[in-house]
Amino acid sequence: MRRIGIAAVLALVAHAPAAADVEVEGRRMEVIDVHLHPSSFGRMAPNGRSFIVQSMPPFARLYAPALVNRLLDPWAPHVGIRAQADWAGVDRVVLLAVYVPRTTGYFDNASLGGLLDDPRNVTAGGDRWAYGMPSLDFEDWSPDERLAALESWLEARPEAMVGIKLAHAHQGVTFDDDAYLGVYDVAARHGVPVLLHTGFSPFPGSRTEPAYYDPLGLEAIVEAYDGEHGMGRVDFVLSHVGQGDARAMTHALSMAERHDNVWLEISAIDRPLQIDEDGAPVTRSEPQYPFVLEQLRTRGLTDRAIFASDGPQFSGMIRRYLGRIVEGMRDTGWDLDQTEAVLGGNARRLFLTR
Amino acid sequence: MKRLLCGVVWLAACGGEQGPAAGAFVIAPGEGIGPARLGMRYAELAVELGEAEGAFVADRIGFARYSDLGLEVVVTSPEDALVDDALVIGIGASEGGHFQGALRPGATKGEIEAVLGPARDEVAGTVYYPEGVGIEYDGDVALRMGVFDPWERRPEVPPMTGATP
Repeated sequence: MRRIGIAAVLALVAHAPAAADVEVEGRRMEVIDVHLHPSSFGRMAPNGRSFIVQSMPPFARLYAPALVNRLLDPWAPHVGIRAQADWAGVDRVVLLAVYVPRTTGYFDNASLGGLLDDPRNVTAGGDRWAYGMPSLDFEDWSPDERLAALESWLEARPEAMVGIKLAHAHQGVTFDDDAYLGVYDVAARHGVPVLLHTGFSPFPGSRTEPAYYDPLGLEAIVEAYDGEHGMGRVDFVLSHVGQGDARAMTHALSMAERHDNVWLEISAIDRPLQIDEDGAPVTRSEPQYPFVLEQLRTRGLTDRAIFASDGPQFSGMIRRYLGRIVEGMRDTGWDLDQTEAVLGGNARRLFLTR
Repeated sequence: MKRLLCGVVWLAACGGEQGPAAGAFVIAPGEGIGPARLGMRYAELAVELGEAEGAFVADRIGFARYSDLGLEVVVTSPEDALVDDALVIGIGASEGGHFQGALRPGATKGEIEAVLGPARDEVAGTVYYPEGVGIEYDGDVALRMGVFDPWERRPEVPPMTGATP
């Protein structure tokens, strides 16, 4: 309550990280952030590193390795991912492996496995704090070998690996490229969701054609894996709700209305829209989250929307983002049950109770 | 051992027995500058150098300086203030301080590269060495140097490996 300035709505108990640190209008709520990126300065791709360093204040750039390494380390004192999550009032997190050397870099599955096995990965109550999602390297694609490696993580660590992370726009693969579809069979066999980047990415090197980021290109696959077409069932979590492009956002929302195996993950929607309904560039300053939150409520999708921050990005970001989203929920007429579901309940149901 | 040696160099320098370098701090990549060492708590640093000036801490990351020494420190802090428990994660040197050795503000790129080799990582005029030092150049001359923990260059994506049960 004392730090983010929406006192009547959201209370954060900054020094009690054990559980349920967020209180909304008198109700304590579990918060799960399903989209956090561990990594290190040395794993960053040159383009992504340059983008990130130049986004820092000029006086801080000299120390970029020290700052980046601590922010992206789950266990670093004061500013690491765990510290940031506790500060924000986030109870549990999902850490993501990524293979995106064209844009930001990588964090490989084995390194992720090491983080999840760390003895510090426990809550005050003694249960698991961080879960993970392995990913696939699409560069120099060799499906049999890569899919087997991916699947091994789901087989060996089912208690910790709770989904599969993909980022087509960063990986340079269109949603409908059938060379890469085997990943959905792996997800179906293990009953894990697939978290997919959707929406326009600001990172240099990302593909900016809609085929790479508009989830409409995924709809035939969503239908094929709905559990009624002989392919098994996969839950598709559309990360960022197609943000940045009004067409992709509308498609993400309408796909979730049409298919009960589509979920919407609401990170990175505090930025302005960049492309309008006609595909033309727009210059706006207002963030997208009020519109998205209003749409989720009026379309009856709050039972399949999931909070995430896409952090840590910079110190304090998770805390600020959570505050904005909860404030946005209040301003767009969400009730407490809906708020509680999106902050943690839906993520627990989808990812943590397989 | 290396840390100990650097400490000895500084102590000797402060003792005024090092000729022209007397009182000068050694910039040791990955370790510290003079008596300011990475990993110190601010309380320890204050014992060595006194209270810092101009502390600015936001979102748990702070900057402060010792102008007379040409030093700045970067800390992470448990709160938005420069508290005793704040952790020193970076130490910077700028012109105006008194430093000895090839690694010092005002050194040329050639002098620096004779010690560290050519830098492989550069963003907009600032280079980063994995030994734990960053250097901001103004043309061919080092304007500022920042010391931080060594970091590992891992530019090649490792092959996807399977889990071990």
